[in-house]
Formats: sequence, C-alpha cells, structure tokens
Amino acid sequence: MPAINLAPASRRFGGVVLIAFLGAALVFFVMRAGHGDPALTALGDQATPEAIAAFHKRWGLDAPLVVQFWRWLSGALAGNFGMSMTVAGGVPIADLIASRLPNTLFIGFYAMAIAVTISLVAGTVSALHHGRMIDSVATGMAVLGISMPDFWLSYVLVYVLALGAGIFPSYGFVSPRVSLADALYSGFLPAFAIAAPMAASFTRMLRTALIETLYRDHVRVARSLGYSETFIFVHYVFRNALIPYVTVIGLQVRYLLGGTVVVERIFGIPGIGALMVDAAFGRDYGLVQACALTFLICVLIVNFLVDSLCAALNPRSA
Amino acid sequence: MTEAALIEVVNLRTAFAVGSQRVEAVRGVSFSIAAGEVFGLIGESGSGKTVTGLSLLRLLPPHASVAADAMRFRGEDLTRLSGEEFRALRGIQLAMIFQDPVGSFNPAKTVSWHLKQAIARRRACSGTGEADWPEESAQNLRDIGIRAPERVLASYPHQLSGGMLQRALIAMVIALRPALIIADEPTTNLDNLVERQILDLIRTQQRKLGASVLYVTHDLGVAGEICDRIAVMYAGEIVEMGPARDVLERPRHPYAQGLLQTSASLDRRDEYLYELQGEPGVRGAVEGCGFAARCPQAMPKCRSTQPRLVDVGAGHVSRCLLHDQ
Amino acid sequence: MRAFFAHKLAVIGAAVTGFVLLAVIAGPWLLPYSPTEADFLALLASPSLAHPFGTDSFGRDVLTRILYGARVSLAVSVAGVLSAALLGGSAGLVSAYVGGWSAAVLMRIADLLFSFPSFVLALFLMVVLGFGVANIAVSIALIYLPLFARLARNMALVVKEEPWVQAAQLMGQSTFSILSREILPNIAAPLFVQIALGIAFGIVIEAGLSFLGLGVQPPDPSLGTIMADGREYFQRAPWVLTLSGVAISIALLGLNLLSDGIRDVMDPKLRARL
Repeated sequence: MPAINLAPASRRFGGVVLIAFLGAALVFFVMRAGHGDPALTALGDQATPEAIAAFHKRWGLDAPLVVQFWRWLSGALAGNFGMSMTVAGGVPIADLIASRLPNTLFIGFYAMAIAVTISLVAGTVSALHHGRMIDSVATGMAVLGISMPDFWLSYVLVYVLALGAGIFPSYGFVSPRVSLADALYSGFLPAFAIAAPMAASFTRMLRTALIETLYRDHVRVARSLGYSETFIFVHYVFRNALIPYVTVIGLQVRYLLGGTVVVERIFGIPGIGALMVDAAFGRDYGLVQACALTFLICVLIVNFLVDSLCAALNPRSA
Repeated sequence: MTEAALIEVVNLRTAFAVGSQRVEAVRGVSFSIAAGEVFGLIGESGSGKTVTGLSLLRLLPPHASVAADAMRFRGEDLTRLSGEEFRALRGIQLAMIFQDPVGSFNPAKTVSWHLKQAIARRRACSGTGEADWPEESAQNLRDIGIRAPERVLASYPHQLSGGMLQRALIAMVIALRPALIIADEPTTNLDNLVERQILDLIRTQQRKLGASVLYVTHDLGVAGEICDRIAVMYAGEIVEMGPARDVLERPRHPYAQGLLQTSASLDRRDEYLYELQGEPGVRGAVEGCGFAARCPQAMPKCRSTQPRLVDVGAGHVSRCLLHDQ
Repeated sequence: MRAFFAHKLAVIGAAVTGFVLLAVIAGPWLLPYSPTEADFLALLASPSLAHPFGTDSFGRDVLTRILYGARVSLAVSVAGVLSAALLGGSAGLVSAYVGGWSAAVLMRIADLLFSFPSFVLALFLMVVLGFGVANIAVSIALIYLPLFARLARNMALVVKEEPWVQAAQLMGQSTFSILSREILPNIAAPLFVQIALGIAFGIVIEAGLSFLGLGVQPPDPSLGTIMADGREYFQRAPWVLTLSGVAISIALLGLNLLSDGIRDVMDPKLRARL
C-alpha cells in the first residue's frame, strides 16, 4: 500500500473540525430558538419574573446569545456539558454520556462487523455465480433485507430466536467492560437487527462492483498471461471492487448510528440512543443537545477514517 | 502443412449467442504459422480477426462457443487440453499484446508489480533466474529502450502515456519469453511517431526471441512492413492468403484488390478516394460468397455457390470463383 | 418505457406499490370498521374472517388501523420527501448554474445536515419543534433537503457542459427556461429513484418516531403506533406487531423494487452521471 499522503489528510481533518464546530453551533442555536428559555423549563410555566431573572443571573443566561454559545462550547471542549435536569437530575451530562457511549459504540462496531462479514461472503458468491440460482436467492434476500425496518426485524428476531428458540436473550445487555463474551452474546440480536439492512446494501454494491470488474480489460490481460483464477480474483477483481464497496460502507455509517436509537430502546441497552430518547421525553434539552453533538462527532470521525482508507486504496487520489 | 509449423489451426469456428440469435464471428478459418515467422491477419473491423486471436487463447466470454477440427501447437492438440492444462501454456508459450495499453494494466498496482508478476511466473515455470527481480525488471525496460526505468517502474498506470504503457506491456510479454505472440492491433490507439517506435520494437524483440507473431491489423502498410505471410479476412473467412509481398503487390481476390486500391488512393491523395461499395452485413447464414453483394466482379453463380480456397501459385491461395474455373 | 416493462423486478415493484396505494386509498372505504372506536366485545381476537388481521387490545380491527395508519405514514413521508425534492432540488440546480460563493455556502450547509445520522436529526427536530405528525413531515423534509440539493447540483454541473445547453445560452434563452426545459428533464430519472427511496425511508422514520411515542399520538393510528401497541402484548397476540411490520415491509419492498427498476432502465446514463 502506498504511503498515506499527509497534506490532503490534514485538509480533510480541518474540514471535519469545521463541520463539528458548525454542528455545535447549529445544535445550540436551534435548540435555543425552539425552546428559548431554559428558565421556563426548569422552573415551570408559573414561575415569577423575579425567579426567572434570578435563574438567568445564576446561570449566565443574561449574557448575549453568542457569548453563551462560546461559554457552552469552551465548556464542552473541556468536557463540561452542564448538568442533566430531568433524566438524571444533577448528574453531569458528560458523565452520563461517558458511561453510555462505549455501549453504543460496541453495538455499532458489532453491527458493522456482522454486516461486512455477511456482505463479503454473499457478495462474492453471488458475483462469481451471477445469473444462476444462488445469485437470485442472495439478491432476493438482499432486497428483503433492505425492506425490513430494523425495529420490526428486532421483534421478529426476538420472537423467533429469543422467546421461541431460547438461543439468545431478549433483554439485558451486558456491557463489554464487564464481560466481553457476555456482551457479544447479549448484543448479538440488536447488532444483527441493525446490520441486516446494511448487509443487504453492502452485498448489492459488492456484487455489482465485482461483476463490473470481472469484465474489464486488465482482467483479460492477466488471464492471457496465465495467472491463476484465484490470483486474478484477489489482485485484479476484488482489489479494484474494494473502492466503491468501502465508499458505500462509509455512506451507511449515518444510518448505523441512527439505527441504534430505536434498537437500544427495544433491547434495553443503556446507550446514547436510548439516553437521547429519554432526554427528549424528559425535556432535558441540554442533554438532547449533547447527545446530538456526540452522534455528530462519531459520524465525522468514522467518515474521516473511511475517507482516508479510500484515499489510501485509490492511487489516483495522490 | 510443413513440419516446421509452430501452430496449426484447422477449421476454426467461433459463434456468439446474442439474445436468441447466433452470430458467427469466425466461419471456418484455417492457417499455420512457422517458428520465427510473422503472420499478418488483415481485415476491417467486424471481419473476425480479433476474435480469431482471442479464440486461440480461450479468452472469450462465456456466451461464445469455439470449435475447431484441430488446433495444434508444437504438435500437441490444444482442443484436448483441460482448462488448467491450457492455463499453464498461457503466457509461457502463447501470449497476447492487446490493443488498448491503458486498460490493460491493473489500475491499483504499479508497473513494477506487473513486471514482477510476469517474471515470477516465468521463473516458476522454468526454475531459472536467481537474479534480483527489481534488477531484472529494470533491465527488461532498458532492453525495450526505456532509458530511466526506475521512474516508470514506480509509476501507476494512470501516470504514464499510452505509448509508454504499450512498451511496458511488451516488456511484460517479452519477460515471459513465449513462443507465439498474438499482437492485436497494438498500435491503433497510438499516434504515428509512437507507432513507428512500437513497430520497430516488436520486430527487434521478435527476432531476438525467435518467436512467431500473429499480427492482427487493419492497416495494410504496417502489415507490409513486418509480416512474412499475410491472410486477408472478410466476414469471418480467410479470402486470400500467401507471402506478404505477393498478396500486397498482386492481390487476386476482389476484396483484397479493393482494400489495396483504397489504401493506394489514400497514399496518392486522390481527389476522389476509391471506396468499396456497401458494408459488411450482420452475420447469419450466408448463401454463396459473402462478398458477392459488394463485389465489382460478381457473377451470377457467386450468389449461390460457396467459393473455396484455390491455389493461385507459389503458396498463394484465394477464395474466389474467378480462380475456380 | 418498453425497457421498463421488460425488467421483471421493476414491474413487480410497480405492481406492489400500486397495490399498496390502492389499498390505502380505497381500503378504508370498503371496510366497515372505524380505526379508533373500541369494541370491547372482541378484544385481542386472533385473525378470522370477520377480522382478517385480528383485533388489538381495544377491540379495534387491526387491518383497518393498518390501512388508516398507512395513509398517515405515506402522506407524511410523501409530503416530506416531495418538499425536500422541490426545495432542495431547486436550490441545487440554481447553485450549479449560478455558482459563486452562495453555492459554496449552500453546499457547506448541506454537508453539515448530512453529517447527522438521519434518525438522530429527526429526533432532535422533534424535540425542537414539538411532537406531532406535521412536524415529522418537516423533519423528513429537512433530512432529505441536503441529499436532493447535492444530487441536483452534481448532475446539473455535468449537464451544464453539454452542447445543447450552451447552445441555448447562446441563443439567449432565459435562465429559468434553460433550467426547466434543458437541464431538468435530463436529471429527472435519478431524482425519481431517490424520491422513491426517500419515501421508503421516510416511512421508516415516521414509524420509528411514532413507535417511540414522539410522532402520531394515540388513539390515531400510524404504522408505528400500531407496532408500539402490539409490542405491549406481543406474546399473547403477536399478530398485531407482526402484521403491521409486514405491512411496512411490503410498502418498502414495492418502493425499493420500483426504484431499482427505474435505475436499471436508465442504467448506462445513470452510472455516468452519479
């Protein structure tokens, strides 16, 4: 693999930082625009003007909005997001997020690993046998996979595999920090529910990319030189199909993280998704903001890594 | 045919299944090439010349069917070989230089990697050559006439010009030292100056290796320059075949005559270029001579009788009823 | 057109989608039940001739609720996606044609919105705007706005260079006329593909939000709320949850196959443009 060219990578990273900053601003100002006064939220509609003024003074809400944003941002960078109002009264938001983030990330990676594994196998098999029965079966399953909402699939899985066959638990996620094996076991169903639609679209993309590459000129040249089919497949076909495949994976990260929200709720996993839903119901706006921002940053980081991988794989991007 | 024939093809027929129809691209082609000989296969696009080359190397897509009465290479019948046995011959005994050098390289790998694979393949088969492969790659490129091989070796295909890539491709094929090289219009996509150089290159290397070349082209001038013997193809059949000089200076088949006149007319820069009337049609079953519809010398019986190859003297044959009296 | 009908899957997709639309529009008129009135005499009845999909915990006919709910889901999704296509598409078209720094700003904003996971953004917007059906449509619109803007812009940039567009410019055709008559028809097909896919995912978003309780409020039916109901008594009456999920899946399947069909028919051109 060629050495990673640092200049474009740092430019991309700069872009990431910029978007993170803009995202933070967006989240902050939009939330304020929607629910202008945190004082009313905290103290209730019946609060007296004096109480509100005192609240403002106490929490620095009498300063201009931009200054408040700056304070919030600098606090956030230092790891201080303020405190949760209703979901876990008085607990620093940063702590809440820190304790939940690993669970969400674990499920996310798990789901991605499942999706990639399935698609590598299914995509390769259906491409090599394209036009035949096994290809139609795989493609059919892929279309089905995309068509099933993940929260419904969760229940189907629970019904069949957990309650029905008793193979997997239907509730009670064990954190990977406690026991990795238990986490893998209890996390399988939720990860699979999220993974299924992704596996479907990855499979389709890999199949298409492989088939297209199979008929390229350079594959024919390699064959004319007498290289073995396996060698040709690995170095000529698969290697060149990797770029569109990895690109699609990158595009799905947004879906991946979004999918955790509902699935966490269903399976009772203490992650950021479930936290955000709780915060939404509890009208804990600071927490909602922080969760949204956390998700944004996760997406940005993963996209950055995937983009860098794509650039490394593609000699034309030098 | 002589015993010195390196490769002998008898009655090669290749057809493609397109939808529900069957298109015959090659309809009974027979020829032989001696060791060290440069054999030219000439025709317009669609005549079946490229498909002939691909058929020899079994490089056609799955919907093509190839059949032949015999395809003997060094005496051994190729049609009897299994897929794996045939693969062993590819590159080492039979190799091909393709028309489009840019598309022929793996875009994700450097030229150095390409050469390394070719060298490794040859070494695996002949068990020789303990020299460092980077040094051998560089030497191969120098032999081809590239003065600064290190830069080319380190480059990716998209960073090099078409001419340079074609040279590198030739270097790869030469590294394998095949006995027969099929060159499929290797200079068509290159500009004239580079075309010259590549032609010279092919000629030099061919002599050095003592290899035979099946040179496929539509360009009569090029064929005249480097070929020892020539076959002219039309609509999937060979219509004239013989020593290059003979065929080009005294063509006997009306189609070959037409081709030559067109070429000469171009060279003379006539005001009105000589043109062959009509176009080759879609190939289904044909009654009579395939060229009859366009032939200025056509006779009534041409449309009903299939002409066969007739000897017109000194190893020169023509497929025309004119000579079959 | 003929090519479209030759493609089996596309035809199936169109047929399924058509069937779904028909069921959703005409169905409720044909069925005698009300989606919200409770019938305490038939609680949690399993599927039968009288109630093909069974009844829920309030005795309401599940099939009727699904059809009414589907109306809501589809309406919300279509409204959201079409607005996004119109607004985003126009913005993208104009930015491609006009260029300049306003285009750059637009694209930055689109990138920003695009960097949020869709569901998270939807959730955030529901919190800001307040829960309820109309706001779901707004959320969906905002989620898809950047997608359509970017799509329209990328393709318009390519088409803009085509000779017939430049000819139109030279002949003095107005910008609006060029945009609508020369550029738009050529980028229509990929847009339709994305619209179909967007509606499909929009249904999922709406169902998800309603499922969590942030969207349509009970007793009004929505595919998501029916599923949420069904989950409560999943073990006793699994058909509620299962069948509402099947309904969603069928709609999605139809839309996916349809968009695949359009994409395959437009294939060579599509691949070049995207």
